[in-house]
Amino acid sequence: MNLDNLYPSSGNHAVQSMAFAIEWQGELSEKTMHAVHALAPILKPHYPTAVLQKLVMVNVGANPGQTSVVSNTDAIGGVQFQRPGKFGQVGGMMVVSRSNVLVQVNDYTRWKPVLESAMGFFGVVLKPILEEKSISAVALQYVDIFTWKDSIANLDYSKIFRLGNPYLSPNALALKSLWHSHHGFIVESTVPVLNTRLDNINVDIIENQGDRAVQILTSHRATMAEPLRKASDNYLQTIESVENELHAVNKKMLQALLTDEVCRKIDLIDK
Amino acid sequence: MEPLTTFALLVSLAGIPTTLKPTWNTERSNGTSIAPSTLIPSYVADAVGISATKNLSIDSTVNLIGSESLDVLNILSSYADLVDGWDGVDSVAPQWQDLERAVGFVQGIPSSIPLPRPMLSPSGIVGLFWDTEFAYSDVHFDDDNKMSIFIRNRQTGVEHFYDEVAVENLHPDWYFEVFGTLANSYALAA
Repeated sequence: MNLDNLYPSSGNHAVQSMAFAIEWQGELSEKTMHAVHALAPILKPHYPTAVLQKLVMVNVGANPGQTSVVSNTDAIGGVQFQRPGKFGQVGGMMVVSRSNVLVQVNDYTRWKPVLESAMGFFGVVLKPILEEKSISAVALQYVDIFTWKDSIANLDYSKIFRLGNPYLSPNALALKSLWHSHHGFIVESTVPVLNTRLDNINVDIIENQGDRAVQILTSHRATMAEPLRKASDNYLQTIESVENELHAVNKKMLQALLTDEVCRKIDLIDK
Repeated sequence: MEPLTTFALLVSLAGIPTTLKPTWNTERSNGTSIAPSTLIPSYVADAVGISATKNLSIDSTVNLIGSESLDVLNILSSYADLVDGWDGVDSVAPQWQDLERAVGFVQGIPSSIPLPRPMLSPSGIVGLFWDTEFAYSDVHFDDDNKMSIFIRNRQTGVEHFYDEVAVENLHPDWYFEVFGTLANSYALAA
Protein backbone atom coordinates (compact mmCIF):
# COMPACT_ATOMS: atom_id res chain seq x y z
CA MET A 1 0.00 0.00 0.00
CA ASN A 2 1.41 3.35 -1.06
CA LEU A 3 0.47 6.05 1.44
CA ASP A 4 1.13 8.70 -1.21
CA ASN A 5 -2.42 7.89 -2.31
CA LEU A 6 -3.84 8.81 1.09
CA TYR A 7 -4.77 12.50 0.99
CA PRO A 8 -5.34 14.57 4.13
CA SER A 9 -8.32 16.87 3.55
CA SER A 10 -6.28 20.07 3.71
CA GLY A 11 -3.00 19.00 2.21
CA ASN A 12 -0.59 19.49 5.10
CA HIS A 13 -3.20 18.63 7.73
CA ALA A 14 -6.38 16.56 7.82
CA VAL A 15 -8.65 18.88 9.83
CA GLN A 16 -11.81 19.43 7.82
CA SER A 17 -13.46 21.39 10.62
CA MET A 18 -13.03 21.97 14.31
CA ALA A 19 -14.98 23.62 17.08
CA PHE A 20 -14.51 25.16 20.49
CA ALA A 21 -17.43 24.94 22.89
CA ILE A 22 -18.32 26.31 26.31
CA GLU A 23 -21.28 25.05 28.31
CA TRP A 24 -23.19 26.22 31.35
CA GLN A 25 -25.85 24.71 33.59
CA GLY A 26 -29.45 25.43 32.66
CA GLU A 27 -30.61 27.76 29.94
CA LEU A 28 -30.06 31.44 29.28
CA SER A 29 -32.98 33.82 29.66
CA GLU A 30 -34.57 35.66 26.78
CA LYS A 31 -33.04 38.88 28.09
CA THR A 32 -29.52 37.47 27.87
CA MET A 33 -30.15 36.08 24.38
CA HIS A 34 -31.12 39.57 23.28
CA ALA A 35 -27.99 40.94 24.94
CA VAL A 36 -25.89 38.45 22.98
CA HIS A 37 -27.61 39.44 19.75
CA ALA A 38 -26.88 43.10 20.52
CA LEU A 39 -23.15 42.27 20.35
CA ALA A 40 -23.36 41.85 16.57
CA PRO A 41 -21.75 45.23 15.74
CA ILE A 42 -18.67 44.32 17.82
CA LEU A 43 -18.30 40.96 16.09
CA LYS A 44 -19.07 42.29 12.63
CA PRO A 45 -15.43 42.58 11.45
CA HIS A 46 -15.16 38.79 11.86
CA TYR A 47 -18.78 37.73 11.50
CA PRO A 48 -20.68 40.16 9.25
CA THR A 49 -23.98 38.33 9.54
CA ALA A 50 -25.91 37.66 12.73
CA VAL A 51 -29.00 35.50 12.53
CA LEU A 52 -31.56 34.86 15.21
CA GLN A 53 -32.62 31.24 15.53
CA LYS A 54 -36.10 30.44 16.61
CA LEU A 55 -36.82 28.21 19.60
CA VAL A 56 -38.77 25.21 18.43
CA MET A 57 -40.99 23.47 20.93
CA VAL A 58 -42.15 19.88 20.45
CA ASN A 59 -45.57 18.81 21.62
CA VAL A 60 -45.30 15.20 22.77
CA GLY A 61 -48.55 13.31 23.02
CA ALA A 62 -49.14 10.13 24.95
CA ASN A 63 -49.99 8.13 21.85
CA PRO A 64 -48.33 7.71 18.43
CA GLY A 65 -49.40 10.41 16.00
CA GLN A 66 -49.97 12.98 18.70
CA THR A 67 -46.51 14.54 18.40
CA SER A 68 -46.28 17.87 16.62
CA VAL A 69 -43.96 20.83 16.39
CA VAL A 70 -45.24 23.96 18.10
CA SER A 71 -43.43 27.15 17.21
CA ASN A 72 -43.06 30.02 19.60
CA THR A 73 -42.31 32.97 17.37
CA ASP A 74 -41.21 35.22 20.23
CA ALA A 75 -38.55 33.03 21.83
CA ILE A 76 -34.93 33.04 20.67
CA GLY A 77 -33.33 29.60 20.43
CA GLY A 78 -29.92 30.88 19.48
CA VAL A 79 -27.88 33.54 17.76
CA GLN A 80 -25.67 32.51 14.87
CA PHE A 81 -22.80 34.79 13.80
CA GLN A 82 -21.48 33.85 10.35
CA ARG A 83 -18.83 34.84 7.87
CA PRO A 84 -18.67 33.90 4.19
CA GLY A 85 -16.22 31.31 2.95
CA LYS A 86 -15.20 29.85 -0.38
CA PHE A 87 -17.71 28.50 -2.89
CA GLY A 88 -20.72 29.93 -1.08
CA GLN A 89 -20.03 27.98 2.08
CA VAL A 90 -19.94 29.40 5.57
CA GLY A 91 -16.28 30.08 6.36
CA GLY A 92 -16.77 30.06 10.09
CA MET A 93 -19.42 30.78 12.64
CA MET A 94 -20.19 31.23 16.29
CA VAL A 95 -23.46 29.95 17.64
CA VAL A 96 -24.76 30.96 21.05
CA SER A 97 -27.59 28.67 22.08
CA ARG A 98 -29.48 28.69 25.36
CA SER A 99 -27.05 26.17 26.84
CA ASN A 100 -23.70 26.61 25.10
CA VAL A 101 -21.57 28.68 22.79
CA LEU A 102 -19.76 27.12 19.89
CA VAL A 103 -17.06 28.59 17.66
CA GLN A 104 -16.77 26.52 14.50
CA VAL A 105 -13.76 26.81 12.22
CA ASN A 106 -14.06 25.43 8.68
CA ASP A 107 -10.71 26.77 7.50
CA TYR A 108 -8.34 25.50 10.18
CA THR A 109 -4.74 26.54 9.70
CA ARG A 110 -2.67 26.66 12.87
CA TRP A 111 -3.63 26.05 16.48
CA LYS A 112 -2.35 29.29 18.04
CA PRO A 113 -4.13 31.88 15.87
CA VAL A 114 -7.31 29.82 15.74
CA LEU A 115 -7.36 29.50 19.53
CA GLU A 116 -6.60 33.19 20.00
CA SER A 117 -9.42 34.23 17.73
CA ALA A 118 -11.86 31.89 19.48
CA MET A 119 -10.82 33.34 22.84
CA GLY A 120 -11.44 36.82 21.49
CA PHE A 121 -14.96 35.84 20.47
CA PHE A 122 -15.60 34.11 23.80
CA GLY A 123 -14.42 37.25 25.57
CA VAL A 124 -17.15 39.21 23.84
CA VAL A 125 -20.13 36.90 24.33
CA LEU A 126 -19.27 35.60 27.80
CA LYS A 127 -19.70 39.02 29.38
CA PRO A 128 -23.53 38.99 29.27
CA ILE A 129 -23.67 35.21 29.71
CA LEU A 130 -21.66 35.31 32.96
CA GLU A 131 -24.11 37.86 34.32
CA GLU A 132 -26.57 34.98 34.48
CA LYS A 133 -24.68 31.69 34.37
CA SER A 134 -21.40 30.13 35.42
CA ILE A 135 -19.32 28.06 33.03
CA SER A 136 -19.40 24.36 33.75
CA ALA A 137 -17.56 22.81 30.82
CA VAL A 138 -15.01 23.62 28.13
CA ALA A 139 -14.77 21.49 25.02
CA LEU A 140 -12.90 20.93 21.78
CA GLN A 141 -13.84 18.91 18.73
CA TYR A 142 -12.05 17.96 15.51
CA VAL A 143 -13.15 16.25 12.32
CA ASP A 144 -10.20 14.84 10.37
CA ILE A 145 -10.64 13.38 6.90
CA PHE A 146 -8.26 11.27 4.81
CA THR A 147 -9.29 10.26 1.29
CA TRP A 148 -7.92 7.14 -0.39
CA LYS A 149 -7.25 7.76 -4.09
CA ASP A 150 -6.53 4.23 -5.24
CA SER A 151 -8.28 0.91 -5.59
CA ILE A 152 -9.89 -0.42 -2.43
CA ALA A 153 -8.00 -3.66 -3.05
CA ASN A 154 -4.82 -1.75 -2.27
CA LEU A 155 -6.17 -0.21 0.91
CA ASP A 156 -4.72 -1.68 4.09
CA TYR A 157 -6.07 -0.09 7.26
CA SER A 158 -3.16 -1.45 9.28
CA LYS A 159 -0.94 0.99 7.38
CA ILE A 160 -3.15 3.89 8.51
CA PHE A 161 -4.03 2.87 12.05
CA ARG A 162 -1.34 1.75 14.45
CA LEU A 163 -1.47 -1.94 15.27
CA GLY A 164 -2.45 -2.49 18.89
CA ASN A 165 -3.79 1.03 19.29
CA PRO A 166 -6.20 1.24 22.23
CA TYR A 167 -9.09 2.92 20.41
CA LEU A 168 -10.04 0.47 17.64
CA SER A 169 -11.18 -3.11 17.62
CA PRO A 170 -8.47 -5.29 16.01
CA ASN A 171 -11.17 -6.73 13.76
CA ALA A 172 -11.53 -3.40 11.96
CA LEU A 173 -7.99 -3.31 10.66
CA ALA A 174 -8.37 -6.53 8.68
CA LEU A 175 -11.55 -5.44 6.89
CA LYS A 176 -11.90 -4.23 3.33
CA SER A 177 -15.53 -3.23 3.78
CA LEU A 178 -17.01 -0.14 5.42
CA TRP A 179 -16.93 -0.02 9.19
CA HIS A 180 -17.17 2.34 12.13
CA SER A 181 -15.78 2.33 15.61
CA HIS A 182 -17.09 4.80 18.19
CA HIS A 183 -15.52 4.94 21.60
CA GLY A 184 -16.14 7.27 24.54
CA PHE A 185 -14.69 7.27 28.03
CA ILE A 186 -14.26 9.49 31.06
CA VAL A 187 -10.94 10.55 32.55
CA GLU A 188 -10.45 12.28 35.90
CA SER A 189 -7.94 15.06 35.38
CA THR A 190 -6.23 17.77 37.37
CA VAL A 191 -4.72 19.58 34.38
CA PRO A 192 -4.91 22.54 34.25
CA VAL A 193 -7.74 22.55 36.82
CA LEU A 194 -9.65 19.76 38.53
CA ASN A 195 -12.03 18.36 35.91
CA THR A 196 -13.79 15.30 34.62
CA ARG A 197 -13.01 14.86 30.96
CA LEU A 198 -15.15 13.05 28.44
CA ASP A 199 -13.11 11.87 25.44
CA ASN A 200 -14.73 10.53 22.30
CA ILE A 201 -12.93 9.04 19.32
CA ASN A 202 -15.27 8.04 16.54
CA VAL A 203 -13.76 6.52 13.41
CA ASP A 204 -15.93 6.06 10.32
CA ILE A 205 -14.87 4.50 7.04
CA ILE A 206 -17.15 6.10 4.48
CA GLU A 207 -17.73 6.41 0.76
CA ASN A 208 -17.14 9.97 -0.34
CA GLN A 209 -17.93 10.81 -3.96
CA GLY A 210 -16.71 7.44 -5.18
CA ASP A 211 -13.62 7.34 -3.00
CA ARG A 212 -13.07 5.56 0.29
CA ALA A 213 -12.45 8.02 3.11
CA VAL A 214 -11.40 7.80 6.74
CA GLN A 215 -13.26 10.22 9.00
CA ILE A 216 -12.03 10.65 12.55
CA LEU A 217 -14.15 12.68 14.93
CA THR A 218 -12.44 13.43 18.22
CA SER A 219 -14.09 15.45 20.96
CA HIS A 220 -13.01 16.32 24.46
CA ARG A 221 -15.19 17.94 27.11
CA ALA A 222 -13.77 19.01 30.47
CA THR A 223 -16.45 19.45 33.12
CA MET A 224 -14.80 21.53 35.82
CA ALA A 225 -15.12 20.72 39.50
CA GLU A 226 -15.37 24.43 40.25
CA PRO A 227 -17.45 26.37 37.71
CA LEU A 228 -16.02 29.56 36.33
CA ARG A 229 -17.99 32.58 37.46
CA LYS A 230 -18.03 36.25 36.67
CA ALA A 231 -15.99 36.82 39.82
CA SER A 232 -13.45 34.14 38.90
CA ASP A 233 -10.04 35.63 38.35
CA ASN A 234 -8.86 35.39 34.77
CA TYR A 235 -11.66 33.11 33.62
CA LEU A 236 -10.62 33.60 30.00
CA GLN A 237 -7.09 32.48 30.78
CA THR A 238 -8.46 29.38 32.52
CA ILE A 239 -10.60 28.56 29.49
CA GLU A 240 -7.61 29.03 27.23
CA SER A 241 -5.48 26.75 29.43
CA VAL A 242 -8.15 24.07 29.32
CA GLU A 243 -8.41 24.34 25.53
CA ASN A 244 -4.63 24.02 25.25
CA GLU A 245 -4.74 20.89 27.40
CA LEU A 246 -7.58 19.41 25.32
CA HIS A 247 -5.57 20.11 22.18
CA ALA A 248 -2.58 18.30 23.70
CA VAL A 249 -4.80 15.36 24.66
CA ASN A 250 -6.16 15.27 21.12
CA LYS A 251 -2.70 15.21 19.65
CA LYS A 252 -1.64 12.31 21.87
CA MET A 253 -4.76 10.34 21.00
CA LEU A 254 -4.21 10.76 17.26
CA GLN A 255 -0.54 9.85 17.63
CA ALA A 256 -1.62 6.65 19.40
CA LEU A 257 -4.25 5.94 16.75
CA LEU A 258 -2.34 6.63 13.54
CA THR A 259 0.87 5.09 12.23
CA ASP A 260 4.05 7.15 12.24
CA GLU A 261 3.93 7.48 8.46
CA VAL A 262 0.43 8.94 8.54
CA CYS A 263 1.39 11.19 11.45
CA ARG A 264 4.27 12.52 9.37
CA LYS A 265 1.90 13.35 6.51
CA ILE A 266 0.00 15.72 8.79
CA ASP A 267 2.98 17.00 10.77
CA LEU A 268 1.87 15.24 13.93
CA ILE A 269 5.31 13.98 14.90
CA ASP A 270 6.85 15.57 18.00
CA LYS A 271 10.00 17.44 17.13
CA MET B 1 -47.94 15.74 33.12
CA GLU B 2 -48.38 18.49 30.56
CA PRO B 3 -47.90 17.20 27.02
CA LEU B 4 -45.91 20.26 25.98
CA THR B 5 -42.22 19.82 26.51
CA THR B 6 -38.98 20.51 24.78
CA PHE B 7 -37.00 18.21 22.60
CA ALA B 8 -34.42 18.07 25.34
CA LEU B 9 -36.84 16.08 27.44
CA LEU B 10 -37.14 13.51 24.68
CA VAL B 11 -33.41 13.16 24.71
CA SER B 12 -33.25 12.85 28.46
CA LEU B 13 -35.74 10.00 28.39
CA ALA B 14 -33.80 8.02 25.86
CA GLY B 15 -31.27 6.53 28.28
CA ILE B 16 -28.18 7.90 26.53
CA PRO B 17 -24.87 6.68 27.97
CA THR B 18 -22.84 9.35 29.71
CA THR B 19 -19.83 8.66 27.52
CA LEU B 20 -21.64 9.64 24.32
CA LYS B 21 -20.23 12.60 22.45
CA PRO B 22 -22.03 15.84 23.38
CA THR B 23 -24.46 17.01 20.73
CA TRP B 24 -23.09 20.39 19.75
CA ASN B 25 -24.51 21.28 16.40
CA THR B 26 -21.40 21.49 14.25
CA GLU B 27 -22.94 20.39 11.00
CA ARG B 28 -21.38 22.27 8.12
CA SER B 29 -23.68 24.49 6.17
CA ASN B 30 -23.72 24.24 2.40
CA GLY B 31 -24.17 27.59 0.76
CA THR B 32 -24.93 30.80 2.49
CA SER B 33 -28.55 29.92 3.12
CA ILE B 34 -29.53 29.79 6.74
CA ALA B 35 -29.91 26.54 8.60
CA PRO B 36 -33.38 24.95 8.64
CA SER B 37 -33.87 25.92 12.27
CA THR B 38 -33.00 29.51 11.51
CA LEU B 39 -36.18 31.34 10.78
CA ILE B 40 -35.60 35.00 11.49
CA PRO B 41 -32.79 36.72 9.62
CA SER B 42 -33.16 39.94 11.54
CA TYR B 43 -29.75 41.46 11.14
CA VAL B 44 -28.30 42.56 7.86
CA ALA B 45 -25.60 45.00 6.93
CA ASP B 46 -26.60 48.49 7.91
CA ALA B 47 -25.10 50.15 4.90
CA VAL B 48 -25.17 48.37 1.58
CA GLY B 49 -23.82 49.99 -1.52
CA ILE B 50 -21.37 52.73 -2.09
CA SER B 51 -23.44 55.64 -0.86
CA ALA B 52 -21.89 55.57 2.61
CA THR B 53 -18.44 56.61 1.61
CA LYS B 54 -15.83 58.98 2.89
CA ASN B 55 -12.35 60.06 1.97
CA LEU B 56 -9.51 58.11 3.46
CA SER B 57 -6.54 59.95 4.80
CA ILE B 58 -3.82 57.59 3.67
CA ASP B 59 -0.69 58.28 1.71
CA SER B 60 -1.52 57.57 -1.86
CA THR B 61 -1.24 59.08 -5.28
CA VAL B 62 -4.81 58.26 -6.14
CA ASN B 63 -7.90 59.65 -4.53
CA LEU B 64 -9.30 56.55 -2.89
CA ILE B 65 -12.73 56.28 -1.42
CA GLY B 66 -13.77 53.73 1.13
CA SER B 67 -16.99 52.55 2.64
CA GLU B 68 -17.87 52.53 6.29
CA SER B 69 -19.88 49.38 5.81
CA LEU B 70 -18.19 46.10 6.65
CA ASP B 71 -20.43 44.03 4.44
CA VAL B 72 -17.59 43.73 2.00
CA LEU B 73 -19.07 41.21 -0.42
CA ASN B 74 -22.30 43.13 -0.90
CA ILE B 75 -20.40 46.31 -1.60
CA LEU B 76 -18.02 44.64 -4.04
CA SER B 77 -21.05 43.27 -5.85
CA SER B 78 -22.60 46.74 -5.96
CA TYR B 79 -19.45 48.06 -7.67
CA ALA B 80 -20.37 45.93 -10.69
CA ASP B 81 -23.33 48.23 -11.35
CA LEU B 82 -21.11 51.27 -11.83
CA VAL B 83 -20.53 52.70 -15.29
CA ASP B 84 -17.85 55.02 -16.63
CA GLY B 85 -18.36 58.51 -15.26
CA TRP B 86 -19.65 57.21 -11.89
CA ASP B 87 -17.43 59.72 -10.04
CA GLY B 88 -16.95 62.50 -12.53
CA VAL B 89 -16.33 62.62 -16.25
CA ASP B 90 -12.92 60.98 -16.09
CA SER B 91 -13.83 58.21 -13.69
CA VAL B 92 -13.78 54.61 -14.86
CA ALA B 93 -15.94 51.65 -13.87
CA PRO B 94 -14.11 48.67 -12.35
CA GLN B 95 -13.41 45.55 -14.40
CA TRP B 96 -15.62 42.65 -13.40
CA GLN B 97 -12.57 40.35 -13.39
CA ASP B 98 -10.99 42.52 -10.69
CA LEU B 99 -14.20 42.39 -8.67
CA GLU B 100 -14.27 38.59 -8.96
CA ARG B 101 -10.66 38.39 -7.79
CA ALA B 102 -11.43 40.63 -4.85
CA VAL B 103 -14.44 38.50 -3.88
CA GLY B 104 -12.35 35.32 -4.12
CA PHE B 105 -9.61 36.92 -2.05
CA VAL B 106 -12.09 37.89 0.69
CA GLN B 107 -13.72 34.46 0.72
CA GLY B 108 -10.33 32.85 1.25
CA ILE B 109 -9.41 34.89 4.31
CA PRO B 110 -9.21 32.56 7.35
CA SER B 111 -11.84 33.33 9.94
CA SER B 112 -9.20 34.31 12.50
CA ILE B 113 -8.46 37.41 10.43
CA PRO B 114 -11.08 40.17 10.33
CA LEU B 115 -12.74 40.99 7.05
CA PRO B 116 -11.43 44.01 5.15
CA ARG B 117 -13.38 46.95 3.82
CA PRO B 118 -13.66 47.56 0.07
CA MET B 119 -12.51 50.62 -1.79
CA LEU B 120 -12.58 51.83 -5.35
CA SER B 121 -10.55 54.55 -7.01
CA PRO B 122 -11.97 56.85 -9.69
CA SER B 123 -9.62 55.14 -12.13
CA GLY B 124 -11.46 51.86 -11.52
CA ILE B 125 -8.88 50.14 -9.32
CA VAL B 126 -10.55 47.75 -6.89
CA GLY B 127 -9.02 47.55 -3.44
CA LEU B 128 -9.47 46.31 0.09
CA PHE B 129 -8.16 47.73 3.33
CA TRP B 130 -7.94 47.11 7.06
CA ASP B 131 -7.49 49.89 9.57
CA THR B 132 -7.25 48.37 13.05
CA GLU B 133 -5.53 49.10 16.32
CA PHE B 134 -2.74 46.73 15.29
CA ALA B 135 -2.14 47.39 11.63
CA TYR B 136 -3.09 49.25 8.51
CA SER B 137 -3.09 47.30 5.26
CA ASP B 138 -4.40 47.75 1.75
CA VAL B 139 -4.60 45.47 -1.26
CA HIS B 140 -4.96 46.65 -4.86
CA PHE B 141 -6.06 44.32 -7.65
CA ASP B 142 -4.29 44.97 -10.94
CA ASP B 143 -5.36 44.10 -14.47
CA ASP B 144 -2.92 41.23 -14.94
CA ASN B 145 -4.33 38.90 -12.27
CA LYS B 146 -1.81 40.29 -9.80
CA MET B 147 -2.17 42.36 -6.69
CA SER B 148 -0.05 44.69 -4.61
CA ILE B 149 -0.14 44.72 -0.83
CA PHE B 150 0.97 47.25 1.76
CA ILE B 151 0.93 46.53 5.48
CA ARG B 152 2.13 48.60 8.41
CA ASN B 153 2.35 47.13 11.91
CA ARG B 154 1.17 49.91 14.22
CA GLN B 155 2.88 48.37 17.25
CA THR B 156 6.34 48.11 15.73
CA GLY B 157 6.15 50.57 12.84
CA VAL B 158 7.47 47.89 10.49
CA GLU B 159 6.15 48.17 6.95
CA HIS B 160 6.04 45.61 4.15
CA PHE B 161 5.16 46.03 0.49
CA TYR B 162 4.45 43.12 -1.83
CA ASP B 163 4.12 43.66 -5.57
CA GLU B 164 3.09 41.38 -8.43
CA VAL B 165 1.47 38.84 -6.12
CA ALA B 166 -0.58 36.21 -7.98
CA VAL B 167 -4.19 36.27 -6.83
CA GLU B 168 -5.00 32.60 -7.42
CA ASN B 169 -4.55 29.57 -5.17
CA LEU B 170 -3.79 31.45 -1.99
CA HIS B 171 -3.34 29.09 0.95
CA PRO B 172 -4.59 30.03 4.45
CA ASP B 173 -0.98 29.89 5.63
CA TRP B 174 -0.13 32.62 3.13
CA TYR B 175 -2.80 34.87 4.63
CA PHE B 176 -1.26 34.37 8.07
CA GLU B 177 2.23 35.07 6.85
CA VAL B 178 1.16 38.38 5.30
CA PHE B 179 -1.78 39.51 7.45
CA GLY B 180 -1.08 37.70 10.72
CA THR B 181 -0.72 41.03 12.51
CA LEU B 182 -4.43 41.61 11.94
CA ALA B 183 -5.47 38.33 13.54
CA ASN B 184 -5.39 39.59 17.11
CA SER B 185 -9.05 39.33 18.00
CA TYR B 186 -8.33 39.59 21.73
CA ALA B 187 -8.91 43.28 21.12
CA LEU B 188 -12.57 42.46 20.64
CA ALA B 189 -12.89 41.51 24.26
CA ALA B 190 -11.13 44.58 25.58
